[in-house]
Amino acid sequence: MNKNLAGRVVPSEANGRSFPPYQGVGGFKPSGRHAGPPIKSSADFPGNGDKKTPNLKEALVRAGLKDGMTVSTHHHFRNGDFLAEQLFAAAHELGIKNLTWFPSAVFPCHEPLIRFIEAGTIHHIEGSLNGPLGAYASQGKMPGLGVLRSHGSRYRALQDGDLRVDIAVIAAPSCDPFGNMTGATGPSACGVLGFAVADAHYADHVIAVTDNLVPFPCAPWQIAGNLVDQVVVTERIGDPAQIVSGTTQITRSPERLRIAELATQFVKAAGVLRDGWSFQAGAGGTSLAFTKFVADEMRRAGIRASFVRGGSTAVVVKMLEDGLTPVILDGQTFDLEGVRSVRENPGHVMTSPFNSYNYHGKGNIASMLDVAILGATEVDLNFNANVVSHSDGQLLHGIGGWQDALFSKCTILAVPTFRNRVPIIRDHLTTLCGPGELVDVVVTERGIAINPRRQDLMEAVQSTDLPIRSLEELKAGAEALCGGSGRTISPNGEPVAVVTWVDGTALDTLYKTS
Amino acid sequence: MVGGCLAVTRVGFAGPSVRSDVLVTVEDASALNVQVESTVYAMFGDEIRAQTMAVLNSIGNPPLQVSLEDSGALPFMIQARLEAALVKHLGGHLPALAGPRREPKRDRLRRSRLYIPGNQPKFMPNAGIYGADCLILDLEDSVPISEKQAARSMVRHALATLDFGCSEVMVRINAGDLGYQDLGAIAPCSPDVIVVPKVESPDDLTALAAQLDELESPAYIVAILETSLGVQRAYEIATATPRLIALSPGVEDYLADLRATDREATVWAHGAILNACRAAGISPLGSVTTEIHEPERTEAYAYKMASYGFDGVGCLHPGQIAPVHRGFAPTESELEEAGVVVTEFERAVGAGQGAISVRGRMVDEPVYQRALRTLQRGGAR
Repeated sequence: MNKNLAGRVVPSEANGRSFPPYQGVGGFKPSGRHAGPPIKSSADFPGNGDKKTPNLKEALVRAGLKDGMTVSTHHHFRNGDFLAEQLFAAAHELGIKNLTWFPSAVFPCHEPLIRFIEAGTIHHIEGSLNGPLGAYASQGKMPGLGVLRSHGSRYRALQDGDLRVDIAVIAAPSCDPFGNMTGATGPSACGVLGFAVADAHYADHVIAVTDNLVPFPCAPWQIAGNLVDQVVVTERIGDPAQIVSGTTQITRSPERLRIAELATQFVKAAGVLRDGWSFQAGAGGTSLAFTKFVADEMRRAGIRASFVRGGSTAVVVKMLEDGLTPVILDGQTFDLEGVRSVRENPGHVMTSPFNSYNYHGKGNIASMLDVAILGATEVDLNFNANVVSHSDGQLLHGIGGWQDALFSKCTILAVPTFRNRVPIIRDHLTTLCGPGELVDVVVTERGIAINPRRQDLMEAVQSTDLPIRSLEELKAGAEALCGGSGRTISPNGEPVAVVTWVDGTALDTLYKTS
Repeated sequence: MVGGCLAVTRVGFAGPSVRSDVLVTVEDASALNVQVESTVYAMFGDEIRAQTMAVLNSIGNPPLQVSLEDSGALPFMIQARLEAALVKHLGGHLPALAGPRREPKRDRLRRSRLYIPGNQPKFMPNAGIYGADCLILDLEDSVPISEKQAARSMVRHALATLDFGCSEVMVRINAGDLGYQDLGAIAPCSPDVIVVPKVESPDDLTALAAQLDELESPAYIVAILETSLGVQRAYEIATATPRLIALSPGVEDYLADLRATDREATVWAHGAILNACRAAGISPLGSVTTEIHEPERTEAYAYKMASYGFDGVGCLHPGQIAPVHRGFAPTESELEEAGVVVTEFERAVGAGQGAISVRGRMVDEPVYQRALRTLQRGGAR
């Protein structure tokens, strides 16, 4: 363990690999050449293009699945994914042990996979851990260390060779026998397959699993069959109705609506909401409400965006179809309206984390966004923020694209001043996930705090009647209601996971609770 | 509950879907024993225990088993639940409590009155952030009869603890004897206004005003008329006491009393109340708007009530406040006109004139006052 530039104590190695400590925003720039998959030759594949294998278990055997390998899955079905469980059930039947699971994210539907950790099939998970698996990891029950990466950083990890995916298993809503695949069509259509792109390119072996085999060519494809080793047809790969998990509904909570309303008034007053602007809003209830409110405002004022970054939702699709934006750059599809739009609208464009916010990309679309609106579990007085753990130390959320989107020109954290008696603005963060220099504004139900680094924003809104407050004032208000800030949980337990920064350095550590 | 033995007293709520509340269970025991469970135990367990012990200590640490099942209740909520549970179990009165002195204002905007159910504390801490002109902490219809005492305890602690921003704070008490008990508990915590339901006679209000005098409370009164008799006596009631600032119809109860089912049947009552209020120089306030998630219909209702001459309507959800204010706002051209009238008249008064001509129309004091009210309604003054 050593202390990084942010003053956080971090492990120097995890799961047998070394992690450089965090060195500041833009401070760490690896050199050398990208890691890559082994060279393969078309001569070794069937000339008729038929790569079908009878079932997933057989495919894993043919792929050479062995103890200790790394296998990956993706979360384009969000809470409706069936494939991860089928995959590890097959590995378990084969008697395989100590796999590293490298998902792009996990959801509550993956709770049943805990039995494969208990059985030794899975050694540890490297990916956004949320819900039941996050809680499980927090209890220190996972044999290896969790490694939390943002979506962009997951792509980077494959480029840097931080870890190598031995076998990528990609859920393909439509797929031909050659492996060309798309998420836009089929009974399990889920929209875009952006998260699987990295694995398709960098994994040693790629298996496409579909419940909708179509004749060659599956066109237009989102991932080319030339990257795919085997194709497996199975009964069901996921439930698209569950793509719409709880986080993708517009909130009815009056507090959150108030926060979204204030954020909307802020971007309007600050002059950020103007013709040609762009923004990213996630799938959280407050972000969705913000998207709806700014769309209403744009309609009223006759303003058009130059692009909107998805997660796509019905609200964003309506903006596209009403001409409020010419393009949705979509990294993941959050609801069935989004799925329809991917199919029907040429302006609904699939992106992968490479296009959206890759650290090794030659430029970063995230830094071109005028506004990103994000959540947080904790914020400190220097605008540093946490998004993965709660103040009681529990790991409960993934990083998602949160760290990546911090690079926008105006990053807004939309948070209540307290949740469930726990004040959100704190002297010390339980876990540092994002440096305060990238957080421009904190919008709460009781007022808006602007980072003193952004005097330009401060001046832009000073003559409005917006409730501009300091973080100190907002913190004091919440503590008066809650009866103090609550006990600070001191990290005296053993590490259970490491949070990495977008460049792969170790930013902070999560510890075992109780 | 005679003798108290074997009796178990429960106040508050717990369960997976509960937020910001605490279930307090009190049983007789051979010695004092306190048990605390909480969703925020890791962070606030010690505070919750200390707060509980302090309350028990203040009544001499009686031999009781006291259990708290907490879902992130704020300290004032815990205090209210503990006090209510102990009084319910042991008898006696709620301990003395006083809040910051509010100074009620007779004349102010009352376009929106947001109802907050008196026994649902989770809605209270943020009630003041939505810009409602008035908040009504409700002890009457939103509270089941078995929870009246718990609600009374919660509302008085909310009054004593919370900052309700710019909103005027009203408490709707129960009718009859229950209402007098409500008043005794909450008046020391300084609500701006007491809303009294089911008023049928001026005597109801003179008695209430006398009790407020006795309690040394400066609170004003809003009376709800919701029976045929009450509406029939609207003017007598409207002039019963100088504490009365407004009358409001209670539409549902009134329809039932008329044995009517069509809301159109309330037209006469609305007219009677409106006329009585204007004749008595007090404010007519409209009933609640029930379309919770339909802002256009809410705004249309508010606009209709404003054009009839009512000064405000009731709201059940914070999302109704903005549409209600839009409904009561003057149009752009009304605002512009009023702005010119006020500016010109104030300049004329400064120059020693009493009446002037603006855009070819005579402007004197009453016209000026009406223009001022238009600007106020538009939020410009």
